[in-house]
Amino acid sequence: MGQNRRLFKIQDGVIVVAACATVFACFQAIYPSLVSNFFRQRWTGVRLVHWLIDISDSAHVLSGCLMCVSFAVVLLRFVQPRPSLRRITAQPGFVACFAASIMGGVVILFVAARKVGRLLGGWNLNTSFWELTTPALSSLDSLGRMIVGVWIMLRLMRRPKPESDWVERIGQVVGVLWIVQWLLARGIQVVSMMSNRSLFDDGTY
Amino acid sequence: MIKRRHVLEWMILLAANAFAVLWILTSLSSHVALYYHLDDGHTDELILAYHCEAATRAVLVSWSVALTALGLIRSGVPLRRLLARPGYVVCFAVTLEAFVWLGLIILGFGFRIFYRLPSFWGEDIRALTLRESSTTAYLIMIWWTLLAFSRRWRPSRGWIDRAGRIIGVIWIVSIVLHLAVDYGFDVENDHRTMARQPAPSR
Repeated sequence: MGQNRRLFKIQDGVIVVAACATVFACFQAIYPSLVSNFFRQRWTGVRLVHWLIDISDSAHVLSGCLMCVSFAVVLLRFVQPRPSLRRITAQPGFVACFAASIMGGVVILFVAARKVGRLLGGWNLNTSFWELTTPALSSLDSLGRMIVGVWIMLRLMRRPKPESDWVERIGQVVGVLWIVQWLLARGIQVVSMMSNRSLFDDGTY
Repeated sequence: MIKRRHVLEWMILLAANAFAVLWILTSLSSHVALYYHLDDGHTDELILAYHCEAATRAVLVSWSVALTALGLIRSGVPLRRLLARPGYVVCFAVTLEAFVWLGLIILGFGFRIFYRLPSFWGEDIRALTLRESSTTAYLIMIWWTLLAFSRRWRPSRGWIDRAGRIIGVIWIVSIVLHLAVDYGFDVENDHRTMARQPAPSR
């Protein structure tokens, strides 16, 4: 609806800035090593394959970033003035971000439970935060496929009613990026299979 | 009087059960090591839990695909209205996922043949269905939440929808089993790593 078009307000700005800050934190956590590895080496074909396998971590970083933005879009969508719940649930962009938020919420709970379990178990294994989160984030690799599934089901119900709202637009872009992330993660798996190595090997260069 | 349609329905259910039994038998003959990248020697309870999880998946997937087909054959209701029934939605979502798994399995198998890589296709199938099947539970949760939010939760009285709802609940609960099994293997690995660590030098 034209007259109900959502304007960008200060509270929206706060939510967007918070999401961006979390995204930068995700990049900061893992990218420095990847970038330095890229410039430090003399490149051969095998090394390129190994570096691509390393980038699988960056696919996980991408999923971490997308998760932050997805949470932000869901939050922005619920801020007033907003369309009715019935209309919101017919918007593909919101639905994609909502799906990502639910799955991400469960994964975060899972990571927290593991961390607490390890602390209570008293295991002195020097496990870093990223060591725990990477397997959890890799379980998010199939989220893009799930979004495809949700969009197909919306389509079959003849319900998708996208609005020309900026929040919805961002949601749609995030949904597409989730699908790209899924394809990227799967592509990296294929590359690692071609090089006949498992992603879990810690190979030396 | 037995109608031809009823015979077809019973045949579909029988085929689903036969498929589930076949899947379980294949699963029981597997060993866990390849999926979890481990050697062997895990506790019997953990391996039993792993097999229980695989068996649950087998039964749920077979029944869901069968119920999707039955729903389409029996009701005569258009698909867009069937997808507002919470039970049928579960079966449909699982069927959708099952087709994706089938595609991935065929792709993976073709890939291994093309590149002449060692083929563990039985393990591939189990690994894929275990790794990916928790996604289905999330899909069910999300779709149920969306139906509830949009006030379109319209359960029907038929046994297909009821069975679908029960399958949905079991599927969501099975995430907990999956996480528990995963965590169990993780804990055993931790203990092994600790056992292998050299004693601290003084």
